[in-house]
Amino acid sequence: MLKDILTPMKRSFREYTELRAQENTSASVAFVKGNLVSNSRSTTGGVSARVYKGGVFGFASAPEYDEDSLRACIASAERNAVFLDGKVKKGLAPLPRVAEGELRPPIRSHEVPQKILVDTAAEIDAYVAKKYPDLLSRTVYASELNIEKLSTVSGSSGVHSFVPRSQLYVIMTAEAKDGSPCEILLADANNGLFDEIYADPSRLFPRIDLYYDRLRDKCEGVYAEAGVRDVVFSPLLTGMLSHEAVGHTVEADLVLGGSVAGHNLGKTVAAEKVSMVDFAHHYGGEELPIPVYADDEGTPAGDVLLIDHGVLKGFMHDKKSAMHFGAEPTGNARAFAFSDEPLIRMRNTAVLPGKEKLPDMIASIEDGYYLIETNNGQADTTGEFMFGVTMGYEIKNGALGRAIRDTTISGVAFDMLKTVTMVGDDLEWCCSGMCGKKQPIPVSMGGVSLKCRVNVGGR
Amino acid sequence: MDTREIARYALDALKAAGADEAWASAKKVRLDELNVLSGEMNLMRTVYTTDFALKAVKDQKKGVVMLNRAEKKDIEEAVKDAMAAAENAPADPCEGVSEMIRNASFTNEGSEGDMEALYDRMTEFLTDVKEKYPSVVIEEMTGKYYTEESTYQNSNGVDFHEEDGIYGFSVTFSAHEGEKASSFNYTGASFRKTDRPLLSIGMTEDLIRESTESLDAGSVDGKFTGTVVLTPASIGDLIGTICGNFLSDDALIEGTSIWKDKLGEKVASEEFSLTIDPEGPGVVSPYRFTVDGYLIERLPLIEKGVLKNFMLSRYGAKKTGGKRTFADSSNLLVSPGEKSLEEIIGGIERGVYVERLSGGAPSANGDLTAVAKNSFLIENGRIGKALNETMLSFNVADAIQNVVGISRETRSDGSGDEPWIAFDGATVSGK
Repeated sequence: MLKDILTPMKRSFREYTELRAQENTSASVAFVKGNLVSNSRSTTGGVSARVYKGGVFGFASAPEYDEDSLRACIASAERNAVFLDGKVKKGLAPLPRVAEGELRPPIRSHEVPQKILVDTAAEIDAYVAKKYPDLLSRTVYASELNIEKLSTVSGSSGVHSFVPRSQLYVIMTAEAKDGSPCEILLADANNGLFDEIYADPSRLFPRIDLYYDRLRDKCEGVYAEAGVRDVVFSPLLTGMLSHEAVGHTVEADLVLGGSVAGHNLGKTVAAEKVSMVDFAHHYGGEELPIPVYADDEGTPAGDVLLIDHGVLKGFMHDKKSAMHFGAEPTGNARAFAFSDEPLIRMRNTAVLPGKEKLPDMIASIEDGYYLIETNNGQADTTGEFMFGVTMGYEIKNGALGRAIRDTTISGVAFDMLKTVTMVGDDLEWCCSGMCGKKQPIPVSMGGVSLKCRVNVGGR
Repeated sequence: MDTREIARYALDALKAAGADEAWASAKKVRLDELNVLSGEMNLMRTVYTTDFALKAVKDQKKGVVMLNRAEKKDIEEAVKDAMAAAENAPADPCEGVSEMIRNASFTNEGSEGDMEALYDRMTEFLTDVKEKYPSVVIEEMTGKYYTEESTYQNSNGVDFHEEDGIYGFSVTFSAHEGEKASSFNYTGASFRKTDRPLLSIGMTEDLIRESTESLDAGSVDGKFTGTVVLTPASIGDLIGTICGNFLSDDALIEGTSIWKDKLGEKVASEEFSLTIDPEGPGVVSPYRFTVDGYLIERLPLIEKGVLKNFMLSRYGAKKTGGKRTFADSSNLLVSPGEKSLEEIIGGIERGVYVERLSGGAPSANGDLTAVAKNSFLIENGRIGKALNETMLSFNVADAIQNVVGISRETRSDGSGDEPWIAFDGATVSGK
């Protein structure tokens, strides 16, 4: 656990300064077809200083966490800020002040023993190998990533946080009817310590069985028919939609970069049934997968209402963008590693639940698709988005039909959201993978079943 | 300690702790970086770090530890963790470290970091873009100078050392006119001297100009089967799928590679050759050695359509019974062809000129479906209207068998010269 030697340094700040100590520890193992191909641990840590002067920032970082290193970082960050300010001469006002945050002690500091990772992954691998010997291949990947941050900021108390994330991926590959390899990915991710989350690995077995059945359906599957179609999204896809298609376009730095959201604030961008929020740390009384209580600029984090009953209501801000737009900082300034500067990032972004039921949605479609699994997504500043779809079924006359092979779907967010006619009551959260935007960072996405129209790629 | 001393200290400590075999690597890095946000200089960053990693093998069991510090106490702690990780791993007779073939040391001359000069090139770029392409917004841009001193050593006496310093830039941009906007695009390059405007490097100016030509993009009507032209900016998706899905350790150990039994057979058009070549044309800062401790040398993967080699690590080779080559996906070059780009496009009846693919990860069998971004319709031998909301679907293994032309022109972003490649048989679908 990081000890606070930062706060006394505050006396030496000559300009607005953020001082942060951080340690990211990770451990991972991977079994490919029963072979342990990866068995590693990693620690990346150190200190950084960011100094604001006249509208520009200087930043410096170093791996040692001691007073000399902190002084050197502050001096180097000041030099960089002076260099850039001397060149650019923006002459902007000081950054806005924020409410003093609470210096929260971490809940606990922890590193999972490597043996637990190896044994857990091996147990799951053995289950898959024994129960499904007909598979062409199988991969089991287990990991824990813990991020501990301690910071102090001019005009704020900073924050001390510890966020653990544990993941287990199971990839199963079988031979499709045309002889080609066909695979499915089960991604399980949770906020929490690996040895607690996966104390009983057998809790994953029913899901593995479900995914094996889906893989078998997919092996007999067909290519989707290309074109704009009626579809039902699973909560996972809707979560991806909230993050990729809408979330990125309402990050204020991307709005400044010309995102489509800039022209649409206060306008109707979605069906009246659609509301979206980027939550800071809690929803419905539960702590969310990526809780942010104060961001890396020391701003106490609040929820950001993005879309309210179809109307675009707000952007996510850091201090500088808030100053530009005349808004309040929202607590979205997050850095991934000690050596990274804070950027505007999402936290827990979700489409809020409605009242409809999944079976009713499927029953309402004559000819379309039920899209269940996605492996990645990307969005454009125009709002055009795409997701890779790795599991789905045809819907014919209100009932599920044949499975489909991998495909990609696309649409334009603020057009597609207006086609939403049913919003499910089945909110689910997902925090696997990383969001990429100069730096990677863990985020979580919340979604519900959603009936809409999108462009489906296919043959 | 310098990186050689760090690696030596770690190997001695691993040996003392009982490792049968081991490797250690260390890289001391200084990064100076200038950041532009929304067209304006925003941040200057200086990062110091020491990337340190070691692997212990004991009784055919392995453990790997990575840190970003390498004082003696850090190394000693890492050795303990690696030995503990190895102890808990299952034994695997294929584990081990690289054998000593030839040691090497590299010092790249010719550049010293000058952040003033880099700043001037970046501001020149911003001014040039504003004047020549006023509708273009620079969403973000990074210019950097990166120095490293690195060492890889192992218990078999392998010793590689490298010192380098190199500039790089990356830029993300889009064009805007009123409420009309193009898709964003991005590019970047590495370079040794600040003697050229950044706009003139690689595909940079082409891509920026094309974004201004994409303000009135539209979709194709319905769907058709046509020709796809991938440019040096987008050919990486093709190469990445070939390497990851068909040639890599994982695909061969899993047995999912559709080429697993095709060594020596024809897998592509005769025009198509793919080579790992750290000394190849346009390679500015080559990768010198693999993660598993082999000096990277020129290696044909596909030669005139024939599969010559897989990309197998030492472990992958032992596991599959194949030949150990280089498990490294850098400096992969597609050989240029005979035709000019103009000739190739002139021969296309209907297709898409693709600068960026935005899609899901390709299936193990090479099926790829993606949105054609920053792309243009080709009709009757001419590049026509800009496209949006247009999907492409093709199989990568089929694509390189259906090549209709590879250009003699190439462009490099610093990782090597790449040509334009055209292939038939893609499904193109619109709204």
